[in-house]
Amino acid sequence: MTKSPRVTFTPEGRAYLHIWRTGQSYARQKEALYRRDWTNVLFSIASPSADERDIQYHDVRKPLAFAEETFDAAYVLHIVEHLTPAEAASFVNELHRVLKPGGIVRISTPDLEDICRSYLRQLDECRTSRTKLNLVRYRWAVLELLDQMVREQPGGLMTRACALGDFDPEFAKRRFGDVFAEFAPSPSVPQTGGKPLAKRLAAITWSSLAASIRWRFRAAIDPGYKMRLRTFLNEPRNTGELNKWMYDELSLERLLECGGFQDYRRQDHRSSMIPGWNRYVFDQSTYGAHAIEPSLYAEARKSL
Amino acid sequence: MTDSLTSAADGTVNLHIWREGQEYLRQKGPAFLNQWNNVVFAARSGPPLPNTRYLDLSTNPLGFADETFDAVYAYHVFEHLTPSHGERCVQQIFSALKTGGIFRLSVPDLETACRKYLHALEAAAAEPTRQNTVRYRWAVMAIFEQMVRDRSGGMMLDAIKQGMYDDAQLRDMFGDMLLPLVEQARSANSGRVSDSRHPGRVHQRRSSNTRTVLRRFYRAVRTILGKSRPTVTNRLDPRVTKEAGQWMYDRFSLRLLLEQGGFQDIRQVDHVSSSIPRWSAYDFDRSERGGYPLDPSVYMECRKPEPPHPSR
Repeated sequence: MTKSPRVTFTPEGRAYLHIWRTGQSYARQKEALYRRDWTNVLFSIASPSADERDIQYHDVRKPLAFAEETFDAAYVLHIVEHLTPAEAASFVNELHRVLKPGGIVRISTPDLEDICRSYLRQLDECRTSRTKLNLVRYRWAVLELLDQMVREQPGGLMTRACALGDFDPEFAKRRFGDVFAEFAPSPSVPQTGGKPLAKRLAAITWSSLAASIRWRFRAAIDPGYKMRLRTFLNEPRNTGELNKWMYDELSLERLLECGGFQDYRRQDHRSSMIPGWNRYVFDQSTYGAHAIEPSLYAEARKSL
Repeated sequence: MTDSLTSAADGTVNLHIWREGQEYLRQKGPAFLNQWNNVVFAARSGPPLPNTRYLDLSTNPLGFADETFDAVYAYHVFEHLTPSHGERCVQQIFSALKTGGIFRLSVPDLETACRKYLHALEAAAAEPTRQNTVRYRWAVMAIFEQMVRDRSGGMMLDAIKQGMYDDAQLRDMFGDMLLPLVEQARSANSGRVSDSRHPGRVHQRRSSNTRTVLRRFYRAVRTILGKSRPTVTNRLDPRVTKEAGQWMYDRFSLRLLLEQGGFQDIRQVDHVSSSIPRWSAYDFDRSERGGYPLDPSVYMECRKPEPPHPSR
């Protein structure tokens, strides 16, 4: 990106930055809100797709394209666990740079402590009484801890466990919230097909058009390119799907402190220091008071 | 397998599968290299060792005739295999064992790692002293660092080089296994001036011999010509060298794995006990420096039962 990208403002005139990677159920529930009021950056590696009108695709392992002190707040949803600790440290430095003094950073990430406690609980239960239900829950708890660090296919062993019916929907839903619907589509959650044509046309921008032409040209002169790209993108390591680290309350505090932030505090899926958060509550499900994806939520402030 | 197999002093034919471990080889090598048949799980052949074959178990079968061995010991192999490769490997070990033969395996214990992590977290949260912080960091690394590392040694090696470790904790979690790294780092650090702005950071001089320069040049040319393939694999990648962890087990998931493989009499044992005859003569899991485990693990043993239909 050569020029500084466009910044969106909320009705109050605040500039909020939203960085995330993926999440069908999240997008379905919150897309309209963040597209309207927030500046959106989607963490994407090696993707042939280019920016949409309201969303910039960017590899956050590289510096952010925004000027210093641009934003009043930033919400980074499930990004840091996909970066190595060193990459995460420089990413947090970047967040500190683009935030205004007094600006707030909010981070959500899977909670290593909670996942370990859940795993040990299920292990104990299995050892006391080895029922089919306990066994399935134990397996799921182990998957939760390990699968996304080592998987070799998109979706990993979790998707396979779901396909085999080797899961307890009640337990999985409690652990994963609405996100679980992405693993095991149930009739109650309608699957959206392709976007309607009008919406797709509206999403076209100059840069996406240019990227599309570039991509087609490359595929035309290099017959193996499409195939290689598909193989490449089918490897979770290359797409950023793999977890490269896990955090808990303590290590997340340390990460933010090292990035220069102050006033660290843990939040839940509804609470926030970000002004006007009530309008967005990105982490609460629209279907109830529960979290879309139960996580560790924490916030900190850039000093004045 | 056509080449001859080694027998132990008591006439039993045993198989020892392991991956690497400088300290393990130093302490126990004389025992397993002379008396056991050895398979080293590696992507490529290493230095020649007596009674040893190098084999990539994630792509190749174990390759021994059925009913060959009286005992098999797989030392820290299964955590480097994906769960499905692990299942396949258990089946192959089952076939290679004689009826009534003993299978022993050891892997790092996920359960212990998680329990120790939670204790360390609580201690560091209550009292954030340097020691507690260092111990907490290592407790986190013990769970998953080997699964996510992208270069050999990973962040554990970094921490050792920076002097960020606690001897008592390393002994407790890793036995003697990290001692060679610690000793190397100590001798490398003695007399070296550390960077005043980044205390503990070790300066590494880039090797700049002709071959490195040529290799860089070759890579640059390939990149310019667009010949570089879109992959991140290289020969030093821990996943390629099998150094990377691919899964973690505890006593319960190992039991499930062994049950599924058809084994019976599955039981957890400790680092000095075994049903393998004359185990105390080998004693692979006890440190020579003391009675403690050489590489603290979860140790399981089981037996290959009589076939259900002997006439088949």
